[in-house]
Amino acid sequence: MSIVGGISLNTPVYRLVEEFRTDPSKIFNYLDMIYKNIDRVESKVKAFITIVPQETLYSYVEALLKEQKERISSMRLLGVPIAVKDNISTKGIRTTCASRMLESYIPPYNATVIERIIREGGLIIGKTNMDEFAMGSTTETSAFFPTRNPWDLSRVPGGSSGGSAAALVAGEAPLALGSDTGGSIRNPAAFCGIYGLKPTYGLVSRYGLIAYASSMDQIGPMARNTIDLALMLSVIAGHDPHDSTSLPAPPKDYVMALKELDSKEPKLKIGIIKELFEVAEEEVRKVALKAVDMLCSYHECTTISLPYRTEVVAAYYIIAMAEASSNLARFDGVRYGLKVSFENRGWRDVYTEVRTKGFGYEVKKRIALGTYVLSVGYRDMYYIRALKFRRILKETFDSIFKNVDAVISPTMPILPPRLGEFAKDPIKMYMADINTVIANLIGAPAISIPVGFYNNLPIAVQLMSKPLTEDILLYLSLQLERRTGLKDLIAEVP
Amino acid sequence: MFTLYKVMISMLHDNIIEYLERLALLKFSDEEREKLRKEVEKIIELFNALLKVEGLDNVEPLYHVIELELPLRDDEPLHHLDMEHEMLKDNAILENGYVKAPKTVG
Repeated sequence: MSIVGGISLNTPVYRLVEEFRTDPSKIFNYLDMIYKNIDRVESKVKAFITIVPQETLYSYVEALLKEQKERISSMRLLGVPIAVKDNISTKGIRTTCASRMLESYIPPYNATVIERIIREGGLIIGKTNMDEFAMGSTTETSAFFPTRNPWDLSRVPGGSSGGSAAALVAGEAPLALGSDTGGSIRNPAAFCGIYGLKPTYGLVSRYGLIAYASSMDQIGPMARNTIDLALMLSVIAGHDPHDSTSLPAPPKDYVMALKELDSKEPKLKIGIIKELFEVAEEEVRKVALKAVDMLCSYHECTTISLPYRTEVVAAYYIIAMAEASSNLARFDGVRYGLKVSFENRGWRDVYTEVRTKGFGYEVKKRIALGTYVLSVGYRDMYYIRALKFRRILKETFDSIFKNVDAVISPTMPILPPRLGEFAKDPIKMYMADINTVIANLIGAPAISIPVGFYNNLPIAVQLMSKPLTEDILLYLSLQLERRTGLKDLIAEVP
Repeated sequence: MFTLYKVMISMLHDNIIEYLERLALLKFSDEEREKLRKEVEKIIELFNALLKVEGLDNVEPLYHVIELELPLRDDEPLHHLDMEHEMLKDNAILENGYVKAPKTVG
């Protein structure tokens, strides 16, 4: 790997920013390095739907350095190129949700998270591939093309934020944003060997995030090490009046909080969720249990039992599909998105044609089933029942978190599947979400941490804690990161 | 109750695709219909796992994890990005500052 001016492709973001603040001209050297690497690997990995041209980013940085001269020494993401999932609105940059419906949609405004990144000197380098409207766990339901796992190009990178995870581990960007409705940050983080955090519901503004299931959607950071993850979280977290579900929490410096915990090294109580290890494939379980041993050699661990399995996945999909069927009704072809002629045609005709042409199979299926579980006769039986179960699940974890500070499980119960493997069996795909959907149903934060490999395929554990205790997750993540040495990984793309 | 649900579901299965298409205002291709028919059955079977959970009758549904009151802002007009819908002009049909929609009656 080439090193220019003390900087290489896998230099952590927190180091890059220090270098750039001292000598801003290094930003251009770094961008050169990044774009050269994109030229080399992108045709194989296909992480991006849209890449901002190098010249555009160059002129942007030139203007930034000139116009904001006084501020650059305090910018927390100065000159850092960031890959953004394509369901997060970026002013002037096409935002497709990997759907034909929005193939040519250019948002007239920025999501709040994008505004915050720009304010801190971050650069939007491109928009990453994803499952269409975030509905999927492999990035294969993208209407454009699948993304490939940089560790093994015959396998999926996970999803739905698969493009963001692949871009990181292929060295195409050092920091990324994803969104997570049932594991969409943590699943690809696990399959690609990077770090991903789903924050507490309401900690990060959803303004400008194109909605899938609003009561569970949350934007979060993806990075190659824990400190970078904490840095990105510090930038994007905090109250936003544009999102009525945004929590009134004061801004917090998660890097400082992490360093403070790390220096005090408190001994915590960790619950090992027995059933979520049992459902995992043997290779995954073995590696994940090693990570458990690492944590438990210092912290106090107890085994806990979760009485539900399939029920959790059922409740999640009922609620997600119901909310999706309502959220996606806005794509009617009248104001934006795919357009068909509606001269002399009734609305029923027009909307049906727009939705049929604009949405792919998985999206149509979820809308249809979502409409079904909300329809007369089935609403109480499925939707309301799922919401009742959701309360039971939340209360179950409320009492678990009275006794432990965090719970641990594998992030994904399986290794990254080959392309096409899940399409044959959608139930298998849904069931693989069992460990991750809990955090979204109950609103708790959860992190995915790479802990080992099997046959060159990454394996990760997930830690989940009570709302607004992201610092605890980051602290445990940093401890594991030190023990495993798995940080700043870049896969060798053949 | 569980058995009754089962009966309702099996009655529906014969023309479930047409029913879903009508409900959701979208169409599936012939190829998709074949696939969907098999998948829907399995997915509903997955959903049915919830029917077996006991003791839910007296539980309040949890619509949202933050059970706070929605904040209200003062009833004052805010700065609007685009009062005349100019930003939609590439895609929408605009007439006198309104967006034209397909006809709803007749």
